Amino acid sequence: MHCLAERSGSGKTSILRVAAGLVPPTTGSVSWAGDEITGLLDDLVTRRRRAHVGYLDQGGVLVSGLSALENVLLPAVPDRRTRQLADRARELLDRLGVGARAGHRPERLSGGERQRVALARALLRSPAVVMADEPAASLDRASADAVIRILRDLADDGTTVLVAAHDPVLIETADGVTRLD
Amino acid sequence: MRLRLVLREAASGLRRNVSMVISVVLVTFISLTFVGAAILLQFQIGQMKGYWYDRAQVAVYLCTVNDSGDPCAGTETTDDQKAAIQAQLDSDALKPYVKNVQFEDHKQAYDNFKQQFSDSSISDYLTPDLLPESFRVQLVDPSQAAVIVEAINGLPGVQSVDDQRQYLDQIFAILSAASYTAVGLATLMLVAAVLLIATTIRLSAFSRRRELGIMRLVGASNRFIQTPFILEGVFAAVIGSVLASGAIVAIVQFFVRGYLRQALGATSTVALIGVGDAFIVVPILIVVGVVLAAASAGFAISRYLRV
Repeated sequence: MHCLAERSGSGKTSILRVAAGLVPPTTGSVSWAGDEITGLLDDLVTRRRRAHVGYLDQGGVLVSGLSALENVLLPAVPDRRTRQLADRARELLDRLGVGARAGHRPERLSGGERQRVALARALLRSPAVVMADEPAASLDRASADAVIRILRDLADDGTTVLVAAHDPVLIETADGVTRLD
Repeated sequence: MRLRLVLREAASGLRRNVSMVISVVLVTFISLTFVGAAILLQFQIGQMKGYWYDRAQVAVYLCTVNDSGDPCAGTETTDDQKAAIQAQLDSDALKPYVKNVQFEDHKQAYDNFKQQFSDSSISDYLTPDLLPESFRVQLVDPSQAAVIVEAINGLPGVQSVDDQRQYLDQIFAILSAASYTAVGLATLMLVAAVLLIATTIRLSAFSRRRELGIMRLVGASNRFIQTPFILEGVFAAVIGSVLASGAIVAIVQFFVRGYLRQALGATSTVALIGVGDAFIVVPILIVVGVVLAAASAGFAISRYLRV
């Protein structure tokens, strides 16, 4: 588990997006497991990201109009695998403590619940790398601690976790920290 | 879930931008009606050309005593000269071009004139000898009239040779100009429609930029993200196209086959287009509407595919 740390506006989110292949770097290159992705076709990078990277965006944004369970299943939609992954989606929601909220729409969930649903979405396809942008920023202390614990458990189970954060507890929890000046 | 998600997103976009969608529908409707009208006008011109060109004759007018100038010099065409002209028309050189020849003498010319101008007092001042005799030559291929004109013009006793197609060409040139004007207006309106569709889709994408971002994050392909927006533009354009198609069918049914036919009179020989022609135009309008909307919506949304 590695943390990109510094105050807001220092470029943490930009680095995370470049690392996730969402934005091409202006200079340098990005490699995943030794394979350079810079310069590859956007669709190819998107397919690889879908298979290997789970991305948790800042604030845990969910698609309104879809239930929590449907939001978790979104990464399965492009491959038409929603039925196969429905059980795993429910299991993830249970594990993250929001199983009882599976049928609820985002507007009926609290900030912490939305963040955990968004995390379940990032974990649906058992990615090798989870990238999380300020996962605890908009949460109360108890919810933030719960999310940090989940990320720590993931790292302990062998998933690579890259987080951008300025939360001191999260920075403490990380195995390594890169501070951006 | 995939199809439901795409349709849900498209419906959401349409709901959020109702006024813009109505504008797209109206602009598409008006522009495609112009396109349809231009195509129908071309059909009408084609039909009239086919009908009238087949009936266009070459008229060989003979001299009368009243033609004082060249080439008649006040002398009536003699029987020998008429025979020479007839012989020339029957010659081997002209035979392949000529379908039939009718001779119209002074009396027949006078009778025809009186019939054509029955509601005018001008025929009261005419006498048969004032109207020239003529050979009415119907051609196998009316576009070959120049051959007859060249062969007959200048023969003794010929006052003038008249290719009636030249009068028709003027009428068709006016109709074609009207058709091209409709095409020009249609093009301008279509450009407006394309820009309006692009703006509407951009607004729709802007209002859903967070959801677009999520779809990118979860690894949805560009095509998958684009589809709801393209459907949104296509949906509005299809409604506009269907309205334009209805307008085109109504124009033919009620204006051309109803009002125009009545105005021209039951005995009119003008061949008018029918509802069948309008139904040929309908799929063209729908295809043009759908393709333009899909292309402009696809182009407009492409810039929002970067998170």
